[in-house]
Amino acid sequence: MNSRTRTRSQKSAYLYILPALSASLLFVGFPLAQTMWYSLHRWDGLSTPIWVGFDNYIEQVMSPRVQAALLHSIVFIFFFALLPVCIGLISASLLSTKRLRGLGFFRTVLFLPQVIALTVTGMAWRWMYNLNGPINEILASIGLGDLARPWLGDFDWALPAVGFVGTWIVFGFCMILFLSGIARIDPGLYDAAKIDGSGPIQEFFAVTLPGVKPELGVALTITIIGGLRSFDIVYMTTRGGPGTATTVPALEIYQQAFVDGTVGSAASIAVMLVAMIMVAALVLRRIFRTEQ
Amino acid sequence: MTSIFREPRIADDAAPATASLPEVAPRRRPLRASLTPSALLNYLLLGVGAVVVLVPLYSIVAVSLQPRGIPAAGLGWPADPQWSNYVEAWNIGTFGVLLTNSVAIALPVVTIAVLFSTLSGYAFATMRFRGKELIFALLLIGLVLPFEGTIVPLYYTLRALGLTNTMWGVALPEIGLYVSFGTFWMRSAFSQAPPSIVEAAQVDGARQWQILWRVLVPISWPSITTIVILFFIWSWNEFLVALVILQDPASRTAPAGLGAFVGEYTSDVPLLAAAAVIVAVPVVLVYILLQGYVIRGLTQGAVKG
Amino acid sequence: MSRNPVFTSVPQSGRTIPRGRTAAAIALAGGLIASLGACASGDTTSTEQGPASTEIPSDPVEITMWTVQTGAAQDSLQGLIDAYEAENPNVTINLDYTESAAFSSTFKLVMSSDTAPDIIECGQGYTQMGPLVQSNLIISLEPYDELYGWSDRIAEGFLGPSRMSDDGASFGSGTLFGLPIAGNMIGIYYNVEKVDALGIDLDFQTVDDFTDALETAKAGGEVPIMFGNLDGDPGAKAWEPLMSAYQEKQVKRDWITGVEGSNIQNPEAIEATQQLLDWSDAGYIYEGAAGTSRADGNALYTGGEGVFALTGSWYLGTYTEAMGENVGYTLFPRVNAGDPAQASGATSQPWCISSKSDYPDVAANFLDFTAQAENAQILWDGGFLPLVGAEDVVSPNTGSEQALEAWNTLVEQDGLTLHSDWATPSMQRTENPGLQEVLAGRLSPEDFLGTMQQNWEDFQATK
Repeated sequence: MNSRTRTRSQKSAYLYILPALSASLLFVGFPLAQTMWYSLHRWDGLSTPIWVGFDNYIEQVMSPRVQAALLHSIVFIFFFALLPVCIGLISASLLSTKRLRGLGFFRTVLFLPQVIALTVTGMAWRWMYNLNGPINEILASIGLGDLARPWLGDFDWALPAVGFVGTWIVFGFCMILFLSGIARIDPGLYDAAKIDGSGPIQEFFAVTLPGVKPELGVALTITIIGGLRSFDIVYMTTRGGPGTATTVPALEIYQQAFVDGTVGSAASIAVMLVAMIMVAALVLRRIFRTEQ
Repeated sequence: MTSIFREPRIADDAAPATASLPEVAPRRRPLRASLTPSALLNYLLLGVGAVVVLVPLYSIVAVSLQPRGIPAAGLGWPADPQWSNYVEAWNIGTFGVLLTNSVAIALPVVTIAVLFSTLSGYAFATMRFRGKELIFALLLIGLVLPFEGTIVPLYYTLRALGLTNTMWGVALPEIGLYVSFGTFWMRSAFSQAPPSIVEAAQVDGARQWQILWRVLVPISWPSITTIVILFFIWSWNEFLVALVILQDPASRTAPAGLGAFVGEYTSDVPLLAAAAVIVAVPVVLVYILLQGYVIRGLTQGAVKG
Repeated sequence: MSRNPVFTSVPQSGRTIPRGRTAAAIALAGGLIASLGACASGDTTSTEQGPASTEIPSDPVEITMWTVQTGAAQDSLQGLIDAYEAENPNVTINLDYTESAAFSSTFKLVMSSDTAPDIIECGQGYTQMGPLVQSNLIISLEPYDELYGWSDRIAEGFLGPSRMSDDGASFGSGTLFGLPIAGNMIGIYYNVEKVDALGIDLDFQTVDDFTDALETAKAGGEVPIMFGNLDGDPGAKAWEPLMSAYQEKQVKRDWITGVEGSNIQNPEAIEATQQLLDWSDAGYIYEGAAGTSRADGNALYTGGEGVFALTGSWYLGTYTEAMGENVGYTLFPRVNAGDPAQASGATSQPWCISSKSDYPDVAANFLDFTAQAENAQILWDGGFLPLVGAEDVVSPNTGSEQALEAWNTLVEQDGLTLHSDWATPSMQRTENPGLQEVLAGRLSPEDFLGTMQQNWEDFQATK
């Protein structure tokens, strides 16, 4: 490219970007900027906001409810990210040694939870966890009836129960992602490992895991962000209960803004949540950046 | 989500992923399937995964067919399936109207968001300009934003524009949100086009605009199809924006209408389940018809980007 | 008019913008925020209200009424509208329904928009009515009260909770901002067949009598009290009758309306909460309650599981429709025999008129219509306990008749004690999860009431 065309392409680039950028700035960037502004005010969403500086932030960080919410979102990283990624990795590494008939069907099914509205997913799982629901019935039928309980209403079990819905939603996606990653690995590497006398486990760590590093980065990034900003599932299953056993930051935002009518302090949680997600995304980017 | 969108790595041996996507697991040891113990293990694993996915979905369908007014129990298929629950839910919930509204919003969202994403993805993939990194970072915000946090200011923004209670009031914020993902997506798709093709076109005197539409878009259809389907699914399932922006019951979308339905028929569990299935079915159908694109596109494109 | 000085003081003209691209971008964003912020803070100038009148125009008029009522209740509102439109053929009233969770997320936004409905159903107190009063989005009904004489027709006990100070900072007295048309109360529903089979005497004189009945039910292999508490509020509804049974009504009311020096962490309230916990520990509450949704709990009860349900009269329609003559209703007893009847209850959400309405006179005229004794039957058919003319209505079934009788007793003895979660906007989110913790044995009754008191004091401090 000579310098003339490069100059030309520079200018027209803005025209190509303009529609997407203006839509994004107007409906994402601008409300976010306003949210930051309101986070410095006491505001009910209606009357005149009152400047309070960083009071909202201090108040929210000190609030046991918000602390619980932040803690739960870390627990959710386990259920939304680590667990499905492990399931995906292990099963994909066991799976891909053969070309399977009917694989297409399984892929379709495994991806299905990604497609269904969370409203519907929430309804289905509320029923699954019901005292008379399928999970307790299955437990009873295999002689574990003593374990039956109203899962979502149990202070100790509600959080893992809701978290498992997150696992259910993403594990199939992770399996599919790693399957395709493993398919890309040069078979010669496995043969080389065999010659070196590696067992299956060494093979996994020496060949498979490095081979799917890009997929691992993608899967962890998507699922960790999903876990941190989860809202719909909690809203549809427990609304943060029992007590505050399953509340998460996004639910706090919603409830403070719409139930309590304290939009300013809700905004301060929103800003903190966005910051947390950004940091997580950047850290993951650093870890999984491919060597140049 | 940044790591999806690393600078492109052109795979050493593979043809551009946009042009021909490799099947899952075909290249390694392409043996014919036979029921060896390891194949059995494979089916067992996949089978367990599939059952875990399907049981909750099956159970909500089973509940939707229970007789109304009797508390549902267990996993059993109802002895006398009440298909009339669906008719009832459809009529009471005016789902005909709601589904039409959802389609009327999803179609412009998909069309415009894909178009905008294609244009900006093209610029980011092939052009140099000042502020590229900064603008890219700005767009990144849309990938991490929780809508709950900005919905109140968003409402006032839309009201200042006179868009509340209109279809565009829902469509435009969705477009604004989706173009972030779309731009990253199309950037990575276009980045993978072999430079030789673009160069050849340039030598032929093709302009930027023509290169995009005559050269790059035709070989990037799989990637475009993927975001078409993803945007459709996302738009269809969007709940909060539709809830807040659309007040007129006649203009509600299917998920928002489902919310109202849940409030109104709160103790009629089979009817609610039937309504939920009605809302889920269209998007599941779209997915099943086009699932090859979604899965292949996501698994390949996400990493290749 | 409450345009915010903070917003308008942000520089909006280019002259004050410092040099440099970044600075310009920030200043531009600031300016945009400022201009939109001004809208956001609500352009609340109400069009100057003309003198109120009972005359309504004879030209075609169309107004909108916004409700969260469902089912039979919604039908009866429609019934009122139909009757009104028949008398006033030039008036059309559109009834818009929004599901109640969606309503609470949007009512402020909608009421501040130009398309605000003319008549809105609006919860008493600080959560809903307060912000609307504060921002001048609903009008004072005092002029119409003078014209139509509502306060002569409706007892002050009913109107009081719809009154607020003009700045929305206190409620229970002051200017009338809403007209309630019906009432609600929390009491005991019972399954007639089961009570008969168990031989339970329904003439509960004391809370202990009722506790004995629960024991009888449990001994008979039944679930004594049915509710599903996954959503949190049904547990609170079961707790309310005890709070009304143990506390004196004025103590409970004062705390709710924010009378200085009130304290909910009092011995009676602790005892009441302990009683609920004792019931739970004794196995009198459905064992799956914690994991069962409100809807499923209702479905179980109407499906024949559970002897008693402690909840509001708003389920009268749902229960009688499903159970017919098999459901009965009675008031919850007091701690000591012979004390006057008390129940957690209030007027249902009053109707308010938007300050943006073009036809406040028509809206008020319709509200007056709903408060006429001859329309009480339409209300009662939808399960609304009428405030005016309740003596003369005909009940569709025994359960409803018993509920109406209970209602009349309460009204006569001035026994409505309001609902605790009205006390502050965030009280519901303190009370409901708190009771879930109490029922799970994770929070003592005393500490639970302490958190409620803390929330109350925090809120009073910000008023």
